Amino acid sequence: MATESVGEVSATESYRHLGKSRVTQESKRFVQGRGRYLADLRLPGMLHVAMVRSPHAHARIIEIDTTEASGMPGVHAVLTGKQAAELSGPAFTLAAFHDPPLPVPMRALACDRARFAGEGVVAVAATSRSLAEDAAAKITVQYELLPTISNSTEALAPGATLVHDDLPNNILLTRHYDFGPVDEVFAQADRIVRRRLSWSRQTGAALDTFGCIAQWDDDDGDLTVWSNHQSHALLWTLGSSLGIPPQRVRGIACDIGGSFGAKFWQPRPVLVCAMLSRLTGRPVRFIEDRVESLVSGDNHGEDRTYDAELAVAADGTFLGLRFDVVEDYGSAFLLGAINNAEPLAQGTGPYDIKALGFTFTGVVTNKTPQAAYRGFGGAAMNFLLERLADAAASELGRDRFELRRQNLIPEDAFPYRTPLGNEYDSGRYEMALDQALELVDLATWRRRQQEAREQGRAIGIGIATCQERSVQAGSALWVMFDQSPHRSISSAESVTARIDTHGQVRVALHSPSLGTPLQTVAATIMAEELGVDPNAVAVSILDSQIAGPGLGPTASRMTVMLAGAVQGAAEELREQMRRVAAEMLEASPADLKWDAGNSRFELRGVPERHVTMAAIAHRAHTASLELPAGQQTGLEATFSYDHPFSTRPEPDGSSWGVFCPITGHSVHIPVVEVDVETGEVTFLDYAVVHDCGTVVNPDGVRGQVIGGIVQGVGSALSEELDFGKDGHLRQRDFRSYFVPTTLDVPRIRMGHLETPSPYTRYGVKGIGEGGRMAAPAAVVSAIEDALSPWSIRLDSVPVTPERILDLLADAQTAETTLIHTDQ
Amino acid sequence: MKMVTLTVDGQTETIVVEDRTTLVDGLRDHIGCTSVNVGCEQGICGACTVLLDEVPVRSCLMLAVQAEGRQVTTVAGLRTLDPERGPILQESFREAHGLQCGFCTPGMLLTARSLLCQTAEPDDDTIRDALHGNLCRCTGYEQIIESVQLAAERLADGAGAHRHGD
Repeated sequence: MATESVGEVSATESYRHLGKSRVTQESKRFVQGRGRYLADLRLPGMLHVAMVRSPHAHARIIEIDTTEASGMPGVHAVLTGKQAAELSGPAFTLAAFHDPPLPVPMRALACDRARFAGEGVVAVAATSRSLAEDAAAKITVQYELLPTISNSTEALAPGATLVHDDLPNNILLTRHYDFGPVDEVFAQADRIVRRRLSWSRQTGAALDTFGCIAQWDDDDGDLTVWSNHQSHALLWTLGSSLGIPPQRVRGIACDIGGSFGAKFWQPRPVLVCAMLSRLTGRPVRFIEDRVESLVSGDNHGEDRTYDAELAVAADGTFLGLRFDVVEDYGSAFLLGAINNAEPLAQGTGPYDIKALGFTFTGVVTNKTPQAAYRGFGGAAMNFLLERLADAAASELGRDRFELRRQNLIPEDAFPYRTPLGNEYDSGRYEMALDQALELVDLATWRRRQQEAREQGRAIGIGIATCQERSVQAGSALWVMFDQSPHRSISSAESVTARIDTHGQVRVALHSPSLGTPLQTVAATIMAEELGVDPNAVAVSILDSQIAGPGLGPTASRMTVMLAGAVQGAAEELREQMRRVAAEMLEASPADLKWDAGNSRFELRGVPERHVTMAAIAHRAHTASLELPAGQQTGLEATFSYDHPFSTRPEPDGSSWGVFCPITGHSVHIPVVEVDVETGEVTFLDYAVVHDCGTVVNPDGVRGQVIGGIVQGVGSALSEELDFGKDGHLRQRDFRSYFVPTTLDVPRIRMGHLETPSPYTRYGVKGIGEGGRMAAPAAVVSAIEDALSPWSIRLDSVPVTPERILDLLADAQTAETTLIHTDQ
Repeated sequence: MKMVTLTVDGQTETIVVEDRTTLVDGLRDHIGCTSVNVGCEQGICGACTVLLDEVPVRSCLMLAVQAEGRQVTTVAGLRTLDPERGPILQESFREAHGLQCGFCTPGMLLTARSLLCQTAEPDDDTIRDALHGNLCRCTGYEQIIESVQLAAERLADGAGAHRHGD
């Protein structure tokens, strides 16, 4: 909870360090080329892995011949799926949070069956990657083809081939929920706005691919794993797969070249390397190449269709939302239903909608498994909300901006309880909208749009008003499972802080940092708490074996969690120092006051009687005989900060409880021009107002918002992972998976609002995913507005030039047909 | 196997490589130079950009044997190669937040340096054009453009009294 120590650091409007522009600690090594990414790590005798992968989307593995490969120069081990199954159980996935665990085992290597094109079948460890690839090319695998389930429709067809034999109908989960008076609302609505929408697979495609090094130590029984995982959580589950005590696994972090969710849960490569290390007695490294990362990386984002309805009153009030969502998870269920559960934290958006009902069906197919891509499905959820809002405006003949304004949750309604039980902590949505309208200068763009139309040019103005939910509780992982044995709610984050003999401060994070300046965030907050120079705070990262509870940077949680954990540790350090200072000043601890500006304790009312932090630290470390009774030598504190506010879901499913209440908000208004000859979309302007509560690192926030928007632009215009009917991914590298370049992106003009959270330390909220969750909806809104003279509806992403030209051609055909019919 | 002698960041190195070894693999695996990164191995992303006799090249598309007798500069050698632009570019990227994870940064800095050698005061469009072969997934590019602009301004001011790092 956001408590303050009275008389200590007071969380007032003007901070010494929070909110100030600063150069990051991390950037120093990166501009010198001294980043230590996974691929930069080398161990003596290290072997390298190359994989043999199934060329078929669905096939039985009949026979594997590794004879020639095993004898090739430099080859130390060859591991088939059958051999792997003897050394390791399946990977731990969130399918195990279901009771009973869902029968979709995910093996490190395909054993009797390959279930997606690109699934690893054999792993080779050799003295170089080239030699390993040479050997892999000599391995022959005999397959027996099985029918391919290439999408959800095929998966659900009666009599369809099963992707997993024990999963009937290829259905992982179906659930139906009604929150609030859904049927009643829809029965009485003046109008029901309907849309069928779909969201294509995409992925983070960080330049740094996933990699790991495993070193199995038979003597000590330890397994050491270096990896660019963005969380230690996966490392804690390895022991259960490998049959060793979990605490014998030591996961060591490194610099991470971006992740966007892909590096949250990567059991397969780690298990493969662990087994190969055990077989060879050497450290074994695997790094995805670009094709492996896109095709086989177990990292794809949401892939779904929505049949959606918005119940609207004649006056434009949004009364209820209901939808049917079918999610294609691919061939495994790594993260459970989180890509559907988590976005429902903001399932009614920023609108005061009182009824929410939905049916969810999750299926398996012969595609690469889904995991997480920036937003955990939130981009698609916001797309649904905003397409319906635009559609409602169109059908009611209302202005899109004003219709949204009418429905925004008012400022006096917070904390606001949504129909499914989650809460929005605070917000000023109408203010954000007003700011954004002013920033973009809507009137001027409307005029230009009209002028352009007269010249036959298509300019469009888009709008999206979206929530940026952040900081989920543990229940997000299993809330859609009716039965879950543990019903684990904890989602803490830990930090250790120490003041050394000289009064210098070190902070140890218990989770990795994935490329946002978390070390600098931790240093900044510690500096705020103790009054030291942020650049003098040293920050390191503990390995998984000694780390305490933590999930790491995911789901926009880390700044909030670090703020709480660092503050908690700082408070404990101050209390330790207070007792020592009291001895030094021959006063009672209650008579002392912490002066953060000078990093010292002083006697209340008598500031000339004081002791500095450095003096206290020296005493605490060296003068054991002079320390107060019960105080140990040193100054150190470890603090595990729990989720600031969460409640349990109701077992009967009637409420999901409060599981993600820290809610930011943003308004995106892009202006685009669509070239109707080529289908190309160019940006004329992009205005965004975002609110993530109190800002710790303003340049970092700006970078996150802009970076997220640009990924959102990619989602809207060019990024697509399409498997076709044969289950073969078409987009296998950057020549066909188009991520935005400098020439593809708008100049983004940002306005800024800070509505603090009542629940978090300093009132901070999460920001990491927001831009990517809102931009696609806004950009599609703009394109649809540009194409409105042709009455074109956009119901899917990406809106590629080909797609635009097809839609224009269809519209012109329809027009022509109409003319002929009239005649 | 072939013996190749080349200069990397001012240091002469002799390595023994296969014909098929790319320059980036030669630099990273044989010389231990990790100030250049691999992002795609297909010449699209630009993470592997190095200067070959001061010209930016995709080191993933070159063979190590092709670098015989040549001068390779990675971002680690930028200050030495260009004591005027190098440090100013690096500090400008830090101050204008032209990086987050840092993976694309070595390539970005070298391409930016080449741009500033050709065009002392590039405008926004020119910078975007010059950098469009360097992908970044973190920043959305805006702060990268601003970093290059800041460096150009500083160079134009003849900023001799700049701070060196922290």
